[in-house]
Amino acid sequence: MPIPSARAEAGMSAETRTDAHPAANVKAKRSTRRPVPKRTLVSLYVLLAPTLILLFIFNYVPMYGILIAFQDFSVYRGALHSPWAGFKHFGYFLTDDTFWHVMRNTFLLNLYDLLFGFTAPVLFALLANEIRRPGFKRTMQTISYLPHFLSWIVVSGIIYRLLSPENGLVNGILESVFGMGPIDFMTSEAYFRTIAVAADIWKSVGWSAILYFATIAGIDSTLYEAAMIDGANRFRQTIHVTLPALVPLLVLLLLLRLSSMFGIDFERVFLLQNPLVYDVSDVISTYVYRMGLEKAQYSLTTAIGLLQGLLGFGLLLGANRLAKRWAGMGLY
Amino acid sequence: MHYRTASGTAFQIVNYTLFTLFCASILVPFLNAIAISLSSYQAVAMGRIGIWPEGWNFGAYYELTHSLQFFRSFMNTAMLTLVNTTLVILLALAAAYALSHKHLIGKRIVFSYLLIPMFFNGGLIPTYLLVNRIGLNDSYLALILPSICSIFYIIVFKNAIDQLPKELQESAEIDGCGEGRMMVRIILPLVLPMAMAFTVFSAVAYWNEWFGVLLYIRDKSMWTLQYQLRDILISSELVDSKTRNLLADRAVKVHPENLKMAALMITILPIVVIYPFVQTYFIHGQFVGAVKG
Repeated sequence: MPIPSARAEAGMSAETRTDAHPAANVKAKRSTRRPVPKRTLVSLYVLLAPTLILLFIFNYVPMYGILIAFQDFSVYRGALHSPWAGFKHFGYFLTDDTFWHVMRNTFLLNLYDLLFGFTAPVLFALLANEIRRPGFKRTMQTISYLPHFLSWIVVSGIIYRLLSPENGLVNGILESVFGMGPIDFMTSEAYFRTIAVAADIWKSVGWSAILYFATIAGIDSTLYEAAMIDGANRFRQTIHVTLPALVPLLVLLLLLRLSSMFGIDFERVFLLQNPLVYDVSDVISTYVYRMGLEKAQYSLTTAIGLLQGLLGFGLLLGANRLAKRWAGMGLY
Repeated sequence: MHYRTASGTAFQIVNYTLFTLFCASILVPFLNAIAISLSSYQAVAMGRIGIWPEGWNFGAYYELTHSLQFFRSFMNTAMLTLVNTTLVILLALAAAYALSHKHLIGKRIVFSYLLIPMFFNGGLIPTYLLVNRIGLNDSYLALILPSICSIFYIIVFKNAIDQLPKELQESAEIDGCGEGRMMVRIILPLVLPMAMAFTVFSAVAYWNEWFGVLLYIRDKSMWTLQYQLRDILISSELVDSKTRNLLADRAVKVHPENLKMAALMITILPIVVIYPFVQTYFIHGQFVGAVKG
């Protein structure tokens, strides 16, 4: 079979499509080691194959596994043979006090994250934009990114050490400066949310601000000059030029953020919490982990996970619609 | 642009002070951790150590570097980081190349197939049960296979390849360039900065890996460094009687806090060491992530 090395585009795609057995051709070609291997569907699908197969096994099969939320799942019988239970598990957790307690914790922590964690990087970028010494700015930014690259295990280890009532640096300062007795921050419910929110800001504020820096850097400088001629000082320039330029990005990030309102990142809470503060710290994901994996309540926790996913997806759709109406833009 | 008004100067002073304090809030805890890891048993047990060690003591580092368990965890992490990062980048590049190819039939279907898992997933329990069911628990595969397929990287790579001039690939094709050579010689060099950025990201992610270990690994010899660190942070010790005896012979006492902070420092050391060199890449990568939106 003759293989022209250069062909018209249309002719080539038509030929590929009518090729009944491309596999056979490829094998023949490879074995004869032709200098110009023909681009075929098969070689492209060979490149795709590992991805498609892995996705099937580790992403699609677990989706099928959601079925166990509607079963009385038994590990020995498997998802295929376990008895059906209808909406029993949904009913169970929806009438369960602990579940609503956990929902409330999840919501509150998310709310604080949104109020403080979401606004912190914007404020950070706006303030850092006012720094006029390039050396200071660069060093400061480099330092601010660092915690983003550390694991929550490392961060939680540092936080436990800093706040420790025995020789922790924070309690040391509190005592020597204010003469206060040691406070056991990590085991008192009053501080958990503050610590969790502050830890997240500490870890990610510099990194999240990069996006805002990039946007600010892209603002047309003539806008500032015009504002200056109109008599605007730095503060007014920030309010009327910089902030409006950030709005599209803010809307987009807010949308992404809203879709995860029910799925607080597991690692942070799991590593910062301890049995003494479960009452305020337990969120859906840590509850699912403890009930599901430690107490083997597979069907129940799968049902909770499913509800969480559906709520998140619903929020994303709703937020997207709102953003399209109010800001004229959305994710899709 | 300098504003010599009184309020402007006051703002600048406050602003610089705020950022200096912020940087201190990041640096001081680390200096404190280093100081504790290097201080003597008595100093750690008695007093508050600031950012400078008291009564030098390298015992904790001695114990960690001589502990077989800690060494194993370190090597496991290094191995997993190497294997996972290589695979995730190669798979993403291969899939992106195939997807951006104009002759790929069924492109739409493949694309939907990739996008669906970005919005829906089975959740923790079904995934856990699956990994158990196919017998991957207590094997390194449980830490590799479920996580090496990154749909996000595929899509970003695909967009990058799509934006390359079409003539480039066509002329290479005319010159007789095959699939493999096209990828390695033409496409790869052009998307290399982006690939480097993602390599850094995924290397950091795998270096920090512990959740998979928590779920799937019971065998201590397969722990990763982060999980080992978590164990030390909770249990305050590294049960390795041989090293303990060695330390006892030399009359070195290691305080639990010594050990915790030393383990923490060793865990973050590789990241801190390569950090200045790879900064440009990860900033580049952050922009790539921004552009996709």
